[in-house]
Amino acid sequence: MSLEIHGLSMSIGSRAIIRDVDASVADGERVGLVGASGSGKSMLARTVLGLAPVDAHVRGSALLDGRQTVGASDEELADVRGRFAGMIFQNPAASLNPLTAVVDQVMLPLRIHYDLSRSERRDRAMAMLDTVGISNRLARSFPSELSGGQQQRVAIATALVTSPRLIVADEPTTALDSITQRQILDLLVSLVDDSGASLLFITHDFSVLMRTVTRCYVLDEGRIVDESAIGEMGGPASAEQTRRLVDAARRLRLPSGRGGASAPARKGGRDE
Amino acid sequence: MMDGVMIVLRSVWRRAEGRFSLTVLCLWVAVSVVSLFWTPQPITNTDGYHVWASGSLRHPLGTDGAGADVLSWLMAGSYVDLLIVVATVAFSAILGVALVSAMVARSVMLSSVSVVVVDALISIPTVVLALIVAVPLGASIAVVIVACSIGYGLNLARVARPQALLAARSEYVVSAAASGVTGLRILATHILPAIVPTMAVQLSLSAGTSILAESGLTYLGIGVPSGVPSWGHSLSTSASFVNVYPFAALWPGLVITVVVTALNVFGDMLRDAVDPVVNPRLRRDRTRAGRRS
Amino acid sequence: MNDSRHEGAGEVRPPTADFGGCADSSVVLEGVSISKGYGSRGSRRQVLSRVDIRAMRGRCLGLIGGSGSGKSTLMRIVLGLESPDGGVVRFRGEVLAGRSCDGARRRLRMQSGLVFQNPHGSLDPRWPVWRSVAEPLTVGAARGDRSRIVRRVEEALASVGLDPEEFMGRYPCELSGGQAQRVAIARATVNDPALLVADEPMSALDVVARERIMDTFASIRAHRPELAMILISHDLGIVRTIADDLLVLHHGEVQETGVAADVLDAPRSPYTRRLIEAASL
Repeated sequence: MSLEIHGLSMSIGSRAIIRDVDASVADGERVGLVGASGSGKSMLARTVLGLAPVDAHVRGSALLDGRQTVGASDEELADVRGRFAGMIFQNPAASLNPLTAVVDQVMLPLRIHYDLSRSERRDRAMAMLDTVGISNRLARSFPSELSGGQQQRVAIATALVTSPRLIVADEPTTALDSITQRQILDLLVSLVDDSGASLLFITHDFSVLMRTVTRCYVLDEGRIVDESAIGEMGGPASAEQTRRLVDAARRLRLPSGRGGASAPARKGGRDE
Repeated sequence: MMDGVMIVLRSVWRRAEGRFSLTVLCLWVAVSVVSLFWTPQPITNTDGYHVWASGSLRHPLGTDGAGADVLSWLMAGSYVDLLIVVATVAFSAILGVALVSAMVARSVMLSSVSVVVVDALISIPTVVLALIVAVPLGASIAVVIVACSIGYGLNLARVARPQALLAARSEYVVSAAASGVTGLRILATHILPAIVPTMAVQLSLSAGTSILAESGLTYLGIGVPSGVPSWGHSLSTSASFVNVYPFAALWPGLVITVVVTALNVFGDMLRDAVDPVVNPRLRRDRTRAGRRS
Repeated sequence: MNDSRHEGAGEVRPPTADFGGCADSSVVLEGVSISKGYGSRGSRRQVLSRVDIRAMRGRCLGLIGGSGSGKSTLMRIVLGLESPDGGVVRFRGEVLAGRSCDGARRRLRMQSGLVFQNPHGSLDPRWPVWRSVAEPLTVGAARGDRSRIVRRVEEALASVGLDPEEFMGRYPCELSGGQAQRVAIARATVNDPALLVADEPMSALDVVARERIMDTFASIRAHRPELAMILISHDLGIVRTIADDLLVLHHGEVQETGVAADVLDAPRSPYTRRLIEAASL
């Protein structure tokens, strides 16, 4: 599903959060949205899906496959969100209902948007959970019984079970440790590519983007300051903010290929 | 310190509701002070020929069933009610703070026992408490003060406990403890300031309710003794005749309503004004104080 | 993804790790063979099993482990905030655990600083910055006169790159995440501690702020060459620029310890290899 944003601005009271943003995500494309905290990147994604705060003032247009979401009614938006767009949030624990077994949470979007019998919904939910690596036994447990990575897998299953055409992931791995982070990213990318959906991936961490998207926008104080293919990011042609983000990410990462990532295991250890 | 109080009062005054409540409360204090020296008529003066009279030049708010001047009784009563409110607020604050401190204590013994005790005692209605207290004390102002202080102190402790616990378990308390600050100082500097906004609301509610309780208990005959002026007294003497002389109950009822409303509004305003997180003016003041030191 | 608990058991090194052969006198804080479990007999969960940890003067120990590795529990134990089931903790040679060790624990508290993950959580929201930073100076022997306290607060703020004039009077709600974290670091180092423990100090911040915090730690260590530091994180990439030694913890067991460069160049446990892979750009 394609997403077209033209001249989108959003303000709360007298404070401008998003200023005149133009951006697009083509059908089946994976696009990143990167910026420091407070740059308005989460708000931009929310505004596009009609989830801006109630007191926000939105101007401009955001088209999801040609359907306008700015100023759309709640009913239209609910339909678009559940059926065509799925959202994954930063804190998986907060986006799951602690009182419901995970399989029931994954079934919920199906009940709202599709006309299926209960057993069909259950089968689909189980299949989806299986795809993200949650076994049938775990599917019956409650969110508090799962680790952070497993919770995020459930959140991904919930977002993808309706086969949305656009997936918005808002810092989905920031709360996770680095190994889990990598696993979740790889899982997300493979699921998105298999289903042919588009991905809008929001993060502050440039190194995360390297693994997930092909093109990216850099947001600073609500404005898009740079746009480039992921390989050209931080190059001489980039904006100053982009270089800052890229440099910071580079400094906080190990240089690729360093050390024992490829070194032979000394004790012939099995890899976990 | 004085600076802080002035800033808080000014922040309250800045809003219309705040102006209303501050005006009413100041008027109340002023009238009670005046009533100590002067009332339009001596309150012991009764005029048997003019009972239940309506307003006149001699009796602006009319007279009651004994022919006494209603205005004078209300003025004199404002002093007694002020006494009750101030004492109740002070004692329930002391009790509440002591109980909250016990409930968030690091000693498991102390905290769990105090939680159980508060939960058990809070189930006793204030009226029953007053009836028990009235056995040794008889009908007196002390009954109202003791019953209200205990009842509202317990309530304050229960309402403020979550806030106090939140502060007690926060990381800033852990880092304070980790740098060697003692438990009592953490209580005084981190935990109790965190419940001040809640206390402002709860205590002002208690202040209003204690006036209502005074009226109720006086009506029951265990509050302010007869012959001592109070708003509750004025109300209870006229309330029984409200079918015959509807306006007689109007004035004490009106005074009580206005003052209780003002107290509640004042508490709400105070909550926002005393919290530096909410009130930027207070932040600016402490900033200056910090610079000076 | 939730790695089965005992899979790597064959790889676990013996707990007598070599920390680059430093003399005993330079050991500031030491935990030997620490074990800790939670829960009752039926559902007992072993969080730490026979973990050795050592913080040395002038060196930074990077404590690496994913969520559920027991690194936060280990930190609470070595700081005397919790007592271990087995093993012993020594601060400058004095044993910490047990009821009779209040004196040693108090000395540890006076001489240690803590930095937490959530930058705003470690500052009282009702206190201006100068008061939060000054708090450790107002206890015990460290107590001094007002002008000295103010001077040291100003020094501490300057050492984390915050202008004292501008930031002394601010409140936590008026600070960004990175600024609040730098205030927390100033607070933790204001009384010249022997030990600084930072628990995931960067994971709640964005990359640009993270980088600035790294620089802050570097300059703090340059200012105080005697300072022993423990930096807890789940991300190898973050600790490698400041840590001299590494201790990799997984499911409560030490996977690998040693000088940081050696561990990174030649990791011996598969878990460390996966960490390195995850942290490579």
